[in-house]
Amino acid sequence: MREKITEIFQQTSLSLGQSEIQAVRRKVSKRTGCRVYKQDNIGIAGAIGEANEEELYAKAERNLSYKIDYPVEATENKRVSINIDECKLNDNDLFEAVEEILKKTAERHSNFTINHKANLNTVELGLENEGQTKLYHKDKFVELGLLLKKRGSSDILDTAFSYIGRQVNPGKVIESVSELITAFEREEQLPAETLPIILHDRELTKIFQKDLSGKLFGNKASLFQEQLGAKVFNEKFSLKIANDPMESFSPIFDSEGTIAEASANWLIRDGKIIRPYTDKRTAKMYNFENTGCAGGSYDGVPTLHAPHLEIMHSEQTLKSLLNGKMGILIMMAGGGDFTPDGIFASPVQLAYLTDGERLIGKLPHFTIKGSIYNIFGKDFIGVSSDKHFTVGNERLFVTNMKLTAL
Amino acid sequence: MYNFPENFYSDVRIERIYHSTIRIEMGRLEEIKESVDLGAFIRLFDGSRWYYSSTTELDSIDKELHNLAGLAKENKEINNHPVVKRMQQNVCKQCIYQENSVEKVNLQDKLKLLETYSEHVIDDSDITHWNIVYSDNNLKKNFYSSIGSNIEFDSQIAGVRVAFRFGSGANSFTEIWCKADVCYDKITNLHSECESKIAQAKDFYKNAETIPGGNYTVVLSPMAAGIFAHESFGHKSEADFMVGDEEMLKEWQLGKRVGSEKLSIIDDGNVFGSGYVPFDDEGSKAAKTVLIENGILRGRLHSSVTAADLNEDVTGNARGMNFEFEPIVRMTCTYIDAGNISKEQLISEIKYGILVDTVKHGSGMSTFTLAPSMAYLIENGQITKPVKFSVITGNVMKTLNQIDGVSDKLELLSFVGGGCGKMEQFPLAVGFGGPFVRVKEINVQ
Repeated sequence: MREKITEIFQQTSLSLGQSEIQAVRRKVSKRTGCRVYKQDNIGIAGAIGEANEEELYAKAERNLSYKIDYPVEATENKRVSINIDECKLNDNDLFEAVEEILKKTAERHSNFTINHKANLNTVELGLENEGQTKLYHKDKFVELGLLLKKRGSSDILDTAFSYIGRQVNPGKVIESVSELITAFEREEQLPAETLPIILHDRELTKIFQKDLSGKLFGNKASLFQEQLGAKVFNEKFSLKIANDPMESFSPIFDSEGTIAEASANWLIRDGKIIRPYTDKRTAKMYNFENTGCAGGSYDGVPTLHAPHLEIMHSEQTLKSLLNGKMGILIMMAGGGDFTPDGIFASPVQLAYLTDGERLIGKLPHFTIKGSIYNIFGKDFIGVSSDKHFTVGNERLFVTNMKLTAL
Repeated sequence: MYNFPENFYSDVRIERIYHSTIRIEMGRLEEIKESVDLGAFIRLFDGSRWYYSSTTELDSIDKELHNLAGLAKENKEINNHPVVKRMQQNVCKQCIYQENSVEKVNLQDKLKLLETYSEHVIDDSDITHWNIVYSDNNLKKNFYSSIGSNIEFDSQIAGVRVAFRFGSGANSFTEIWCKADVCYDKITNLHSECESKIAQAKDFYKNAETIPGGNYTVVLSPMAAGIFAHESFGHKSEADFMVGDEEMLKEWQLGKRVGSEKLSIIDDGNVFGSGYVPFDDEGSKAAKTVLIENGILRGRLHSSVTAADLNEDVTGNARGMNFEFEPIVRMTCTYIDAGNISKEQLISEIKYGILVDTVKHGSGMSTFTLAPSMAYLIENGQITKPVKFSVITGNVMKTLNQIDGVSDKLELLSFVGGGCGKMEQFPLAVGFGGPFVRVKEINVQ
């Protein structure tokens, strides 16, 4: 069976430096991958730019001689077309919005500069094969990465605003950037009492991306090897694969064409480890459910990739989760890691004190530390129901961790 | 040659990249592929703004130049602009990897080579999961500019990366052995080194003990020292973050003491390996740039834009990740220079400390971190036992001043897989390294 993958990526990218648009980059890239499935093997070939498909299929046929094991069926008779056309912006709209953000922020905060990027992206992905499968995903969205640097600061950046979405409201961005800068300028002391730690969950769910891999479970190599099926975390803690195209800005299907059942997206439910994540081959080899986590490049063999994960949010707002206390919002915590037994430690380069609604002030540098079994166990407080525009328009995760001043 | 529009500065960078990848996981061939990508990045400058385009249709380059000119404003004085005046006019051909190109090595031979490396892990019953990758690329670049540059050069890297995990549950340990070099032949017979690393990792897995956090004297291996130099100081030396900031320039005034007198840090694109960049993506020749000399700030890394803004010279550090990206200021091969005492003496002078041998990753702003993979306790001048902890961390500037010993042998490292990330451009191949470096006090967590 033959199968074709197409990726078309169109981007207008504005380079920002010293609060000015310094460069404009336009590109359109097209990539085509051709796969041939034959007798439990797969052959692949790909090209950038305009491709001669017959030549690619011929090359993929030759690639079959390497006998790459692929003892599963290609996806058949599946037709899904998703075109998210909410974004009506054009290049000029982006240009005007960004110029307004830069100009008004510079007027309000002349001691800070804005640097980095504003992008308008259009992404098209297609997978079709001789088995009557035809899957298509198209989306258009804006990415703002505004690195805010205080003049004279010895750091590359001091604070940052990031946003990904299908609309841009310059006024709202300006207010958020202003809040970040104003709070940055107001220095607070590290609180003497223990306060909840608020952060985006990505930093901490990395360990689940690594150790809930079906390959690691299948080879008896996971940190959670003996805990599959067991309740090891807080009963309020549930973790799922994030594959809603509206939220994840990525297609609902994986690179094998799998669209997993909604129930198969849950990896941890009510504190209990339910299943590892898998692709077709891993699921078959180790007798797990296929969760649709095949990834890889357009010209590569589809293989198991760590998915985006999200913690199920609570019904409470951030303020409500803080329960009348202040919280410590971690904005930048680069360089942390887990020990093999699940202890996480990281320096925190930027944190704000917050009441759950507003940023109060900047805290001095410190480190955070905690065991994964406590962070998502007895110390787990929850994920906010409300999204916070100033912090990347994300829901925020609240837990308790040990904090040590540097 | 291209029709460069008049009254603008413009350049064209064409890249032809051959690359192949083979991956074996748990004894099964998972991937084997080779391909050639061809594309161009086009820049045009009108004195106030840059306009970029990338294309895989090389026949359309003149059209792309014309389109970019349509977006910009004509500037008859463009050649007198400080940025353009810093652009080098180089005309040369420097292709040294065409005879021994990795493209000429049969893919089947590369697979056989990888299978020989898999023999070191395949039958080890303590290893619960493993994955090995062969990867190479041969990159040929042509660079043309409106001021007369016409350059052709190439670079190449080939390497093997072996990742393996011992045990499971809370008692597990993952380590990576990776070696790369500029010629295929140089990576075909590194079996004893690979075997030795696996044996060391197995010993670490079985015997490493947790140590309490606190402040320790720490010796960084060449790998750890290289990552420290790259993350903690290299990125700060990239001049784009100083542009337009007078106070910042005073803070980073050349000639100022920023570290211990034992410390010298260099960036050099002439070093053969994964950081070899004989010409950057603006056509400037690679320079050996001394960033710190005996603790004194001596230089920084530039593109033409940052060099013009700071009234300094270009250094050959304007690099784009590939033909889809514009050049920005990036490192090439960054290393701490060798000192004058032996590694043994460096360690023998420590009563109680830690040797960080291998590192998973590092980061650096005003605070740096290194996440060690294998580390060892030093007691009374002797390495005594393997120890584990999450990260070492500290204030960059304070730590640079606490370096009190540097060993006499420099080791420069090359890699395949991964690389340096800056903004949207990740991964970019770089090299790094150093000697063994002793720091009086680092916080261990």
